Amino acid sequence: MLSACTELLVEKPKNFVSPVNFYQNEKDAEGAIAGVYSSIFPLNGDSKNMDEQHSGYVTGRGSFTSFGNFDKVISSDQYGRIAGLWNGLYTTISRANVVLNRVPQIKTISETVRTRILAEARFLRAMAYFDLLINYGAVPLRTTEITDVSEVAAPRAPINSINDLIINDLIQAEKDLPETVGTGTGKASKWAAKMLLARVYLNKEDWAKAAEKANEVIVSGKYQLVTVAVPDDFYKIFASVTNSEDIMSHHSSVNRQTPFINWLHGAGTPYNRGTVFGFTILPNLNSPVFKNWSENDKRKQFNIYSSYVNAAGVTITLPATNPWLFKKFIKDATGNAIYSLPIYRFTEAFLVYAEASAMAEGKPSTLALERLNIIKRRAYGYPLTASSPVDFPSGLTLNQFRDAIIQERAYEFMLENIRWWDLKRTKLAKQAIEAATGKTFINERLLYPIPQAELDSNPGITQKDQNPGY
Amino acid sequence: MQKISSTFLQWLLLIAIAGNTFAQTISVKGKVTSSDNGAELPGVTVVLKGSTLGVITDANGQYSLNISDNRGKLIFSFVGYTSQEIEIGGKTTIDAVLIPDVKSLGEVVVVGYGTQEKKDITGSVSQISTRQLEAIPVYNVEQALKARASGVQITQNSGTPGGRIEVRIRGGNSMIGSNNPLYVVDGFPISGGIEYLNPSDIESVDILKDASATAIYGARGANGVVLITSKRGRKRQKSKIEINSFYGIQQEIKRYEVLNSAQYAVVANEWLKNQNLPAFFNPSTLQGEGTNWQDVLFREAPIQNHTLSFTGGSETTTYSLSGNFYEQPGIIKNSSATRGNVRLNLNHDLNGRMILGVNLTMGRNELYRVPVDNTSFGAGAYSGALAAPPTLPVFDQNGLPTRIEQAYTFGALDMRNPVLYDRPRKDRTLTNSVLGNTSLEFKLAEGLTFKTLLGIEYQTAIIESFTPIIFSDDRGSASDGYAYTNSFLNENVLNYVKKINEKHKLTFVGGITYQSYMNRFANASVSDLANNITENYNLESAAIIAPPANGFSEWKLLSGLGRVNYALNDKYLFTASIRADGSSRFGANNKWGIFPSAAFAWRLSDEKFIKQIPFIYDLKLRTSYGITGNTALSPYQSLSRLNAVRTIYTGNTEVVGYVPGGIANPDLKWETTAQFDAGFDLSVLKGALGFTFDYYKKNTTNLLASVPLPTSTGFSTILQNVGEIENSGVELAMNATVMKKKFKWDVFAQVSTNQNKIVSLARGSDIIGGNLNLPFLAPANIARAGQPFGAFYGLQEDGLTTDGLVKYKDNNGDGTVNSLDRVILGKPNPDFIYSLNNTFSYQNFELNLFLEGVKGNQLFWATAGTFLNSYQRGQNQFADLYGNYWTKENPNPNAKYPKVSSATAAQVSDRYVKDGSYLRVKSISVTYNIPVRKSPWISKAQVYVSGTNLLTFTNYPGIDPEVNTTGTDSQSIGNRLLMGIDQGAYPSTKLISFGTRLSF
Repeated sequence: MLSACTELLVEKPKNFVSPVNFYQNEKDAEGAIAGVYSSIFPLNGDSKNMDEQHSGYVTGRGSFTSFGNFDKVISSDQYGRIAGLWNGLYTTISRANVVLNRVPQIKTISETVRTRILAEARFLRAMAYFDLLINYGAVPLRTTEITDVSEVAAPRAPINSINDLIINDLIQAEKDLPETVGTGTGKASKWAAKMLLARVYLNKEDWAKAAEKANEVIVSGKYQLVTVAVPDDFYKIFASVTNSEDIMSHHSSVNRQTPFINWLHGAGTPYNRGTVFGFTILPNLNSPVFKNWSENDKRKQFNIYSSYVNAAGVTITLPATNPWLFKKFIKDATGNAIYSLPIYRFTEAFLVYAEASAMAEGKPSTLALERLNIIKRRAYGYPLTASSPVDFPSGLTLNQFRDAIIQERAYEFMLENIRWWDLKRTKLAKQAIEAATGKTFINERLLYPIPQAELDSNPGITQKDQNPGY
Repeated sequence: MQKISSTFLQWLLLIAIAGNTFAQTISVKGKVTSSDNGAELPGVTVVLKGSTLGVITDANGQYSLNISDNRGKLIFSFVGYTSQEIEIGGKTTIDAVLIPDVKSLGEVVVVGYGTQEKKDITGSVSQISTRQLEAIPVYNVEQALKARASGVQITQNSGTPGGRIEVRIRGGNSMIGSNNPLYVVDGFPISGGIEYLNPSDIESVDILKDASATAIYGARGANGVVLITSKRGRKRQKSKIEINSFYGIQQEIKRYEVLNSAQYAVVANEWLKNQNLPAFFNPSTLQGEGTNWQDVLFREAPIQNHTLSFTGGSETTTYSLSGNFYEQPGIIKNSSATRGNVRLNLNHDLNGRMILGVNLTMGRNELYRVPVDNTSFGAGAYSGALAAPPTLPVFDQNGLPTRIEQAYTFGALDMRNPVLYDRPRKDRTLTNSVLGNTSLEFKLAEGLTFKTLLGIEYQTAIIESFTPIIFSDDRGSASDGYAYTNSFLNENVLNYVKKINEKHKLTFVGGITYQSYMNRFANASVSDLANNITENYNLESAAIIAPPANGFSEWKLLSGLGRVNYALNDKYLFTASIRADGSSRFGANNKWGIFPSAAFAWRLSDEKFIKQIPFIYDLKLRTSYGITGNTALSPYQSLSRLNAVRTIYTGNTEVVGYVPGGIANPDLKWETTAQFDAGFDLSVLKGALGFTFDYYKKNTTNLLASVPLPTSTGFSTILQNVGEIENSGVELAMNATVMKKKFKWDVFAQVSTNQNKIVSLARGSDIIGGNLNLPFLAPANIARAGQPFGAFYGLQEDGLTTDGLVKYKDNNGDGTVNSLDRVILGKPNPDFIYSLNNTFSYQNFELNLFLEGVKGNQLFWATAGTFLNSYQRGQNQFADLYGNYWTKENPNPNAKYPKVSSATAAQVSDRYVKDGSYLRVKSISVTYNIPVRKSPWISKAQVYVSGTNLLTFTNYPGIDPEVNTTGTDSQSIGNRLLMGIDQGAYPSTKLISFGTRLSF
């Protein structure tokens, strides 16, 4: 009787999938890896915006203003955003760990698909750890699926062991990821893994390996630079779903858009039909990056604007309160932010090669100089492989050459989350930000604080482990 | 039942008596009314003293008695009232006003699965009558209960029409499960809210507080049980029509005073100066007030309520039918609450052995909302109005609302013109509810009855929204959602009463019940509208159509219950009860819970040694102990689940993925509350003064807790039954008739304490509350062992730095100020709550004065984090800032407010923790009874004027200390910990109303 009654009380949910009957076949494995990819999309745009607020070439506005107080540690009103970045990255890691645990146990799956999915999981995990590393320094290292509360304690792991995990994952991913993803650049290919490896080696100052990986991408023949004659030609890259130099990017849909673009534009401009938040990222025209930027560089006209032509055909000058705005990223004609946001672009391989090979060899080689110049020639509208009036001369010292590359990277990857990392890894942050903003920069700003929720509930970390200044 | 049958017996008796009245010649007649409310009393026995002559008053309280002699005395007696003797003295018209018997030995109290005479009650039960429920114009029955019973704390989140009301009986036991009591309406345990009930329809509300009273509700009893009994007709009651109407005007209880135009310019320039930017305003050209945005936002709002009811009964059938319309537009435009309600109660005695019953309530509730609570800057209408620069006009030269967020470089970008929240913007919820049950009661044998009940609770709701296109770059959005819930109930209860030689009285209740519940919803939302014309009625015309959302959940509860009451010599009263609950919501390893209780009461006043004490009229000692549960779990919470998410690989085509939703726990079960109660009921001075006292201690273990996980696990929490909370307190209620002659004065007073304390928490570690909204984005509350749940937690200020910024104390002395320096700053729970109700009557006038208050709690005045933050992000400020902030010219380290600059971000600190104590004149009313005795068609006519919330004594600087804007029933511990927060609350209202009560 009681057991019959208890049978009545067994729950049979209808509206969700249970892990008990999932992870059974190839389709489930694809669903699991899609879940990992889902977490890397900049759904609230904060992580992108936070990077750019530290670039020096940007002045923050509105709720992002306090990032600009570089003489102070990050203000508590930004802690939610700092924690959001952390949570998002660890969400990716946790989901990747589930794939790495569950997918090997699936019986009904082709080995090709299994290998590829596991490689994707490793790639995405490495990507997340790399972002954690450069933003927070040493962080808890989690490499297994957590199924019990007893497993939650994790201390901050040494930076070396995090780097080791990232590199191991990426070497495996590089081996197992597909040669091509076609137009599906929302997915990782072998070349995406090489690009990330190049960044990781660059960050570690393992120059030879960084150059090697970048070179492999350049000579692969898989990608081509887009030709630019007029500034708006750059929209072939930045207002496209994919293009010939897109190695990997965040793809969007009408239901999955990043608000990042809202934060560049004012209301009513043709670049941003409608705005929810308005601009929080303004060009800092006083920064050396802007001051030294040649008007002949088509990227300058492309990146910023001071007037626009409205729907009625009238030219509107931006108001004195915000005379210049960024326009590299825009919405489509219907006002949707559905163009892809770059993760790895082909041009980066050229500049990584130039920097890394020069650093490895102690001086810029001819090839290094040529590859730097190719990127610059493209930006000025010159043929890529013939020498041009804007070429950097040969005979630059190593330091001059590297400074030129860092400057070139600022122009080439403006608003692409490169600059803040460049300033940190080259130890130029203090100098560059003070020069750009006129404010004092304190070194505590080099790392974000570990979120308080982590300190409060991770038995492996205490307040003593917090980053300096917090 | 017992009430009806005792009246019935009196009838039989008096019909017999009436047979002897033929030979009489003198006729005495009159009307009997109640001193309580002036209502006529039908069924009062009127007997000539020392004779068998007597009659019973009719449905209008009228009687006529033929007697031989105009001397002697008439005795008027009625259940629940003190009998009265009146000298005839040759009069032929004798009216009597009966005074309710405080001791009310015959009074019936509704208890779980039955009724009991008050004298037999062993538990702690408070009863509230319809008259008290009707005293204050309210939308929710819960609001009407406020301060009417000891041990019951009722708090509104804010003044939002139809907003959330929090009811706590003897404190909150649960951290994430519901802390709301179980509502049982005419025997039906409600699964949703009760906002569709009309307070005027309710005969009585009985609040069960201790475990002996609540354990019969098992896994749903731990938070106390509120039994609501609606009005019904009485047998042989003459048909009666009643009209009860009022109309009133509401106004905000208070406003914030903000900087005017000239002051704003000075502050903005100071900010620009401190940011090393050039001044913007020339203050000399900006004179005076500028735009008063609060005038733009607020309106004087009418409120009205009308109830029409029909009641009556024949020998076999009784009925009560009523209809109600309540309308309360909000003081903020575009917000309102409206209720329409129809109710029918019908009982029919088939043949003396079977009684059919039907209770049916149908309600329609409509809410229009605007975002107000918990907002800052432009996210809400009120914060929008407070933040708006007074230097800007409401509309621009094109007649469009001024885009205040774009007007100044230094203005906060998330400001919004508050008129954007007015129509045609729409946020509407329309709910239709049906609560119905049918019962069949069989009298099987002497003292043995069996009742079977089938009931259904059914709700559908339309939830719709529309944000119009106002500016050329607006996209507009709209949504349309439907929710459906139903709950089915079957109860089968056997009742047996046995008296053995007048010494032993035994009552037994036993039953089996089954209740199921289902909830479904579907919602579609779109944006980028084609136009404003079709609002949310043609979603497919929008450019962006979000994926559809829908949901499904259900639960089942199967129970067995039993209770025994045993009275020895009517002096020693024992109660024992037990319930077994099997719930689908419990984890696979814990499907069944058992909940026992026992109680003992001793009617000391029946002992000889007490009877010798002359002033003691009645004295009963009570004690009880029992275990109750709280099904804090939602359906499927014990199961592990995968959530569907989306990503895009190629083009713009979405791909669905599945991700783990958390870590499962099949051991999840109810929370267990063990409660001890000891108290007494004392009545002295012939019942003119009565006290009820209770001491209780509740320990809740197996607390359901979403234990925080380090977010580096990829999850933020896991659900476990862990931890313990204790609530203890004393309750004292007093009833007194201070004067009862021509001038009458009745008093009800109560004071209740509750100490809430966390005994232990998962892994012994603190749980930090969720983040406050902007501008704090940091927690202000904590759960820590030894402290009350939700204690305030933050930094302590220590003056200003030489740079004019707030300095915080390095409480742990480690040389830096960081989160380790946070300390407990206060508590959101009061030390005690109290109320005092006075009713004065003189001739046809009655004055009611109702006071209520709380003492000893703190509030976190988060509103000041936006509007007294030294213009940090360029929003307008409260007027108090002006002249009170730090400046370079006058670097006062003790200035009230820090430097006006972007660096002055609000941090959670003692700056915002304020005393929340208050004493309020909740209501004052004057009623005039129009003399209608001579009218053949009207039996009662009252007019009254009443004022609600007219006067509040408090030190709290916010608008209203009765506030809890983040109050929530959510299952997130972080959200639940947000207690006692006031962030931009919808202002409470003060209200003047005029009303009438008519009976025909």
